[in-house]
Amino acid sequence: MGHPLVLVPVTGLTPRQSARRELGSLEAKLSYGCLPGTRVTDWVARQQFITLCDLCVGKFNPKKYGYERWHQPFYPYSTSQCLACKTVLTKCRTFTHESLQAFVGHFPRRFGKGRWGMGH
Amino acid sequence: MNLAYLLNGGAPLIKRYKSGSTFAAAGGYATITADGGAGVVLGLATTVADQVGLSLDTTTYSTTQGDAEAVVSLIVNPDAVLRIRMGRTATAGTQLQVTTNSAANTAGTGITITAGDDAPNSEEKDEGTIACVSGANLGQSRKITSTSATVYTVTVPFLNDIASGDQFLAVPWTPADVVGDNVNLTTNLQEGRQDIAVGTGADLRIFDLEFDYASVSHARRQSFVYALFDDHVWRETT
Repeated sequence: MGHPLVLVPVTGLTPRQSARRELGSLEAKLSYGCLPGTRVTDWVARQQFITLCDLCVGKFNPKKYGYERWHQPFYPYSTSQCLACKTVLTKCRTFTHESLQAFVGHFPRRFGKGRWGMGH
Repeated sequence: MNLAYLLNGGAPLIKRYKSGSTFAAAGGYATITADGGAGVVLGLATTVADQVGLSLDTTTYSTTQGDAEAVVSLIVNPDAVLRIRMGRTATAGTQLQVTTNSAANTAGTGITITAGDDAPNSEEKDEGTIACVSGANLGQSRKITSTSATVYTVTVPFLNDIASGDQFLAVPWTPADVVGDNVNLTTNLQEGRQDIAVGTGADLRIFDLEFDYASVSHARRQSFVYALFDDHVWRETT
């Protein structure tokens, strides 16, 4: 007649299962709104230079922390280590805190302006 | 000082180094530490050896447990060309002193100071550069090849006669020159000082000069010297 139906209680998790779920929820909380691999906000709190790769840059909101893109002539990126995923990249986007812009120099790229600008 | 560009035209390489001193302002530079130091240290205004790079942010050095480790972001390229505003004193933000010619010179080779101007030979400006910011020779500059207590002399004449009342800027730098190099920086390391004898200061090699000839006021406030670190640790010369 086959095997009898066995019901497994869903509320009674083993200690191992329970620990995994707790850890999982903790990870989810940490990763939500944060950059992977590190706490870039620690650097932000110290108003230090931020370098991020293309994949991580979308998770950083510079305006929220008073940061601006740092441009320099000829090549708008820098070669550095992404603060989030630790990748060394020749095309990192760089951000400087607004309080430091007068010192590090700011060379905005005005591609959208002027007669030969890319325009909108 | 700011990054102007790299000689190779590429992207700057930014590295973060442990710091053994406080960097109070971005736009300074770091040198390697002495034995026993905790990391790179803030450079000096006058003497420099073993530069590591241009600083991009600030950091506070602390040996207190619980404090964040001091780390500073540096542009470490040895071929980074630095753009340094010209100032006059140890304090940043001052304007350059103008020399007003007091004796007409039809040869176009001598500029005689007016009483109250800096003496050409104190601080010594021989082998520096003199630029005309007002008068018939506006926009021209020449290398200074000799000085006396009252006269700057150039070997290559200015194109036109130098009239009484013409105004000039004399600076202790000449690009690609064996004597007219080095930059004595202001206390905050942001600017280069005009009021210092030629050849003295931090070990920087002069790459270019930029005078804003739009007006005398512009020239006094918005002129820049471009220089490279001359004893950079990644250049592996010393």
